[in-house]
Amino acid sequence: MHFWLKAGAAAMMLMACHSATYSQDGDCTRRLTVQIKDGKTAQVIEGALVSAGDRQTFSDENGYCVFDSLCRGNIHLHIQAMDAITETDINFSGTKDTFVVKTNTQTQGITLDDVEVQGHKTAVQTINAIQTLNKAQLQQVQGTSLAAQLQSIPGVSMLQTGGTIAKPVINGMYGNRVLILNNGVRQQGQQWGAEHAPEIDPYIANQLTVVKGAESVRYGSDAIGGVIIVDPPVLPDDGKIHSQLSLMGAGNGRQGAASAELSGNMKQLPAFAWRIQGTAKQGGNLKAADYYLNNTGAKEYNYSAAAAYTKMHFDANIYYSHFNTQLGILKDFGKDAGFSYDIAAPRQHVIHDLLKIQAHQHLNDNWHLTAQYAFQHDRREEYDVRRGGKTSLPSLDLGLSTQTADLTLEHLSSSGWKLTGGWSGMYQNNASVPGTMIAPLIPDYVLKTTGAYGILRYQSAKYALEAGLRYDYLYLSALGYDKNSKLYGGKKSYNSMTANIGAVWYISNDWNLRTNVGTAWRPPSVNELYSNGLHHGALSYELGDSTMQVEKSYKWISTLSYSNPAGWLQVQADAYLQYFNGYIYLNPMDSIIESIRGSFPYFQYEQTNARFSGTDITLQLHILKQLDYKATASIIRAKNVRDNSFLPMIPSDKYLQELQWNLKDSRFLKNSFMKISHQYVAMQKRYEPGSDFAPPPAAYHLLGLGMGTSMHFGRQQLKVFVNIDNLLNQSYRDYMNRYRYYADDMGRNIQLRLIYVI
Amino acid sequence: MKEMKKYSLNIAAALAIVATLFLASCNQDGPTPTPENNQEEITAITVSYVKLHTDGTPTTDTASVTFDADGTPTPGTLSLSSGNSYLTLVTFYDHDEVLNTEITEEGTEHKIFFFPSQSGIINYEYNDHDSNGNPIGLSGKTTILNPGTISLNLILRHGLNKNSSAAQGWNNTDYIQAGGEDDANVSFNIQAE
Repeated sequence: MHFWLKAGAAAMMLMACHSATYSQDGDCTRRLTVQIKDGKTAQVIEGALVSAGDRQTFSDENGYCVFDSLCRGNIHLHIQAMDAITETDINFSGTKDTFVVKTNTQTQGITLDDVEVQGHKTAVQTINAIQTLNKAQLQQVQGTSLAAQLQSIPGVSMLQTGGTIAKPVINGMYGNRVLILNNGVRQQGQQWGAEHAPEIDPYIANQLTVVKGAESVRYGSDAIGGVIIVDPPVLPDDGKIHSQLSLMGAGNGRQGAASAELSGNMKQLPAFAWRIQGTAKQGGNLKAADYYLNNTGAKEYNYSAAAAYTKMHFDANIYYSHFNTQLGILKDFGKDAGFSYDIAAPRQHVIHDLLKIQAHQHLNDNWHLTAQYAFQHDRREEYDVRRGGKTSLPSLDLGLSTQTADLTLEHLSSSGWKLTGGWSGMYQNNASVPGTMIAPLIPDYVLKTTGAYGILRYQSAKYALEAGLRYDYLYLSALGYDKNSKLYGGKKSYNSMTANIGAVWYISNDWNLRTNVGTAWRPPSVNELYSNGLHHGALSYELGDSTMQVEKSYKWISTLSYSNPAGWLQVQADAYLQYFNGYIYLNPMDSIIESIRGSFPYFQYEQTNARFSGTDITLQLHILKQLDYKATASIIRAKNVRDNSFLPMIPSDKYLQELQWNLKDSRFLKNSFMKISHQYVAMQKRYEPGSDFAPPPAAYHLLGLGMGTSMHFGRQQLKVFVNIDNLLNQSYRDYMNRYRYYADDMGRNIQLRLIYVI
Repeated sequence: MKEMKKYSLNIAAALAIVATLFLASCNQDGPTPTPENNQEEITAITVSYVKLHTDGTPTTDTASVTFDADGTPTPGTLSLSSGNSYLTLVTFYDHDEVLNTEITEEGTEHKIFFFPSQSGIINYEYNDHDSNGNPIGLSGKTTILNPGTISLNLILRHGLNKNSSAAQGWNNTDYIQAGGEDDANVSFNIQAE
């Protein structure tokens, strides 16, 4: 019995964690030991389920549980023992790291030291494989796009359109098949476009999490390929003002980025906390190994504000963010225009506003209720080179308004059962802003969706089980004028049930296995239904199919993790198999469309049956006390099973390895390291000849160097990072870059990052 | 459930706010698009060959080919006389509107290239120039050097760098290197006898 409890405790610490503790100085290496005792009898309690933030473990035969790698600051403990739930807060900022907590049959727990209540955050409780980049890891890659920052996670690649636009790809899926949760809100921009990057400022993130299974039960359609969770930091609760300034400079493109954040909590009003943040970025023409990439400059400025009122059993928060970017699109390939910050047509200008209001209430010991309302407005203007002075008029000007409402009810019990249920609704309106003097690519539309789900989870020391069911209904009404000023469109409704079942087995202290089988669905998007015409950006003629049905998929993903007792080896391997019924893709047709502009290859949106399978492996070796090695591999195999052909735009095999030397901390410099990295991207050989403008490019190797340190001055801290990407200035092209037909990818890029925290 | 009563006011308020904000917007019906005054397309092109006297003055002998929105030429083949020169006029239409004025106004960004399927049959010289002195191609002179039947590909290029070496001449096959994009790309046959 004791063995299994220890196994459970250790195994749960191996579970990918999502820390909700606020860390002001980034010290997240502390070990917390808590002993659970009965409030009445003072007896130690064995087998209590203790949650620290979002980590969970069971207390052992002496009532102890241990949490490693916690951040300094306040920790909120949720203890379920017998029939009672105790909640308490621990001030983990001092030197004390062992605490005794007495359970109580009342809901009010006994707090030790300061009573400063933590924000209540919903944990990412999922059976699916998740991988997280924490603040320390993000600080080394800040200033780049969201997709670029996720590249170190195996299984994640990106779909690029030149150097300024990148969409994240999870296990071969992108766009409408990957859901991005921006501070708990489903990000709604024109995701259907391959050249539409997510409109999020990664500087707001304290953590980026990638969920690699179909999470359709929890989040609805669009999570058929996976979910990217962008979480801002938890607001402070220590009565002080915190500030952070991040600066980034990059040689390639002569880019500069600055982001500042100010957050605080008033001692006189400890329940209230706030944060304001802003980012400004600018870059000029990027440089490939041998020449400049003309018109690849970018400018961005974003800001956000958040406020929260937090009590022991109730909290309410509000969040507003504004994102504004201008990007140049590569043009005049074959001509080295030199460096410039100017952005001319073709270019994009996108503004995204998001407002979120959320309230969270503990109805009693066991029931928690969360209500959320969000409003988003996305304005996308795309400018092409036009005749008659119309270059300053956008060729595409779309305004997308989305409102979402979510209600979630959770039931926790000390017996290990947890029930989560929810309802969500969305109302979306897309309208082309008149005055472009050219027919819009997609029709105007109104989209209404509603869904309800239930997830039952059982957690024990040996295993966890989860089963979920969801029903969604979607109604789409589209109407637009085509280039001949004729009305087109239609009304469609879709509905679907999705289900998932999963298990985690804590085999031993060293091994654990998790597996999940789930269904997912996705309705065809407006461009897949109604595209009709020349897609200027892609130089091809695309035709939609308004009779298409929903895409349904079945995904089975398993993750095996091993960590050896001596602690110098960690391995994690994901394997997945996904079958699609009605997979929607752009199929190149044999014929050519003749028009006065020339002959264009003709692509038709079609549905077929597809099979995706693959594996992502991570290996970590602590070779010496100060030398770490990490290797990852990502392999995807996808096939159009109806005609046994290969699917387009599937990432090729990717291997990454890193060797890091950690220097000893000195009085002044801490967490100093030097690392060298090597990436190998194989040539995509699973390709149908003649299905593309050009065959896939050759395989390539990229070397990188990184170093960093952190200087402490009392309460203040300065972190410095230097990174060199593509160290050898290798000239290469990537299959997943849609501009590989015209130009090389980026050459050497030397970046300096400074992060100053007060 | 005594505790529930304490919070029921909070919950009711939260739900009421969420419901009101959400349902208030659901009263709109379908989308109401506005038609755009499409001014972008080249919907037709006419290429006229006006036979010239030996002194260069035009005759009334004209052969024309018209391309529709699909790029289909009518007639498919023009008969021209070997040994003669022709004033070559290209006119671009957007429905009823002639676009040539716009093209001339933005002449530095436009150039017409002519690509014969065989060399040695025709030669072309530009008559017009933009504000930088570079040719455009709305007006020119085609000389039929030898008899033969060729296919002639006419490309209106927009946004190119006219100073680039790849943009020089009337039939420079490297024209893509000069940048820009095709606004028109059509072909027809010339039977020179």
